Amino acid sequence: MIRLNRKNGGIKMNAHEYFSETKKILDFAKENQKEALIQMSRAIGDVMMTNGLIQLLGVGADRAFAMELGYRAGGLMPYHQVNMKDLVLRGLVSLEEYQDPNFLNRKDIAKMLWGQYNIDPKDALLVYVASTATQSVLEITKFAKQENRKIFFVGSIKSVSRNKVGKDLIKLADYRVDLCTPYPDTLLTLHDNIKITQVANVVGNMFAQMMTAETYRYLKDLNQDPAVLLSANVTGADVHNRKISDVYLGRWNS
Amino acid sequence: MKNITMNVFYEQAMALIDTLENQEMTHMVKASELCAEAIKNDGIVHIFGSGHSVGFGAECTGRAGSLVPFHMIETSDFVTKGLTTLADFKNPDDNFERRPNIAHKLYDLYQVRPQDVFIIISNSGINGVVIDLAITAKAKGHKIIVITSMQHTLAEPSRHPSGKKLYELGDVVIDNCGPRGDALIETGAIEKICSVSSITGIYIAQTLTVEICRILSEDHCDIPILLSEEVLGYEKFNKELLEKYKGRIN
Repeated sequence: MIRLNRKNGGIKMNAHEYFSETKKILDFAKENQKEALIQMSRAIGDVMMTNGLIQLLGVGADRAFAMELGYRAGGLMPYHQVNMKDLVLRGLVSLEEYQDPNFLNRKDIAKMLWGQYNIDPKDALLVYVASTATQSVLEITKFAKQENRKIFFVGSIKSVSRNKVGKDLIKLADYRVDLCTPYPDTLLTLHDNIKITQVANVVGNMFAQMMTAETYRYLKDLNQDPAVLLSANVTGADVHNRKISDVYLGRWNS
Repeated sequence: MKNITMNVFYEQAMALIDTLENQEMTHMVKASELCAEAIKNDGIVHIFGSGHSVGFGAECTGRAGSLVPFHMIETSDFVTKGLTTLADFKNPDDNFERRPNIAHKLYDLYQVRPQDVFIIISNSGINGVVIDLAITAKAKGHKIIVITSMQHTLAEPSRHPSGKKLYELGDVVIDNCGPRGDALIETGAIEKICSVSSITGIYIAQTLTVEICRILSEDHCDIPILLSEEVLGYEKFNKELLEKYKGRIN
């Protein structure tokens, strides 16, 4: 176990350092990816204008991006989350199988999961990988590509492209946004080469919300009426949310 | 329509992050002290958020650079551990997270020791499941850390039969500094867009990690951190660490 104290150097950080370091990364990523974010946001808007949904894919901690866009207060309605845990919830694999460290690299689970949902020909796929792509994510993306769907990729290009699975995944994307975050996804140095804390999801969640703003404005500029969800925890929101989600009933919640 | 761009959101979100850092650091350090105390005594930290708040637990657990003695509780555990059916869990006419009198069953599902601490996250802090779990854990003598939007929770009535809100049950309460309804940007219509609680939530989660490590270090205690296995030898370290907490964090 790691035991650090003043004799061996201890640790020299506090939480203010996390705030200042992440702000530098955020500022850089925002400026560096400005055009890519705008292009992706508009392309997402184009899918929505054809009554298509964006299928959101991310596994493990990479679900953060999907959760930030899918059925989110202040977010746009036409998203659906592709959730690996649905395989367990729907009784297709056991919890023990799901918790196996190699589960996400099984090729067979991709078809099983993709086949669970009511996916319309107009739908597109958005894949989020902060750091390391798994085989199952690549296989799902290949299915979507074979079905001629638009593919959006958001992730740390530097991290994801370290191996062949990641490189293949990135190549499949029609639109790419780079988080501009380091590999490994750790930030502050605790001691020597021991690092703690992560930054990718800070940038990812920020980008998700920035894309919401851009897609909203794009649709408004085209005289569309973007469907925006209200917080379910505000009095009266249920009626509004049910009304706009019923347009996609059986799809957004498939 | 007001001028809405990604830069407008970015600037407002960054201002809110500054507010969080300036206004809530004392509470975050206090929460870290409670967690560090639990870890020093071989306890663990249970993290529970329903809805989008589940992201807080995901941010804290199972990643290189994260503390190992963190256990994420999910409402979907009700299904995966056989306490209810998927149909019941997803019933649109009886929202699961709003239901009272079921959370004690969640508590009983896990290996919880007296020295363990609970972090309970809810932006609104008004729903049945989170309030009930806080009541149950508090009754068992655990320290409770609450993360909520004070602006939101003070503006909405509780949905719990007791009339209580989550923040009233916290030994430490951290305000995520988000607005009522979570969305930040005015559109000129009834709806606002672009939520912020998940972003400030990540900052809170990461702050707790830093401060817990700092406190453990200052107290000359072991720091149970999951290391990046890119470095030779760390795989063995991680395996031993995970073995130590086996059955309690998964």
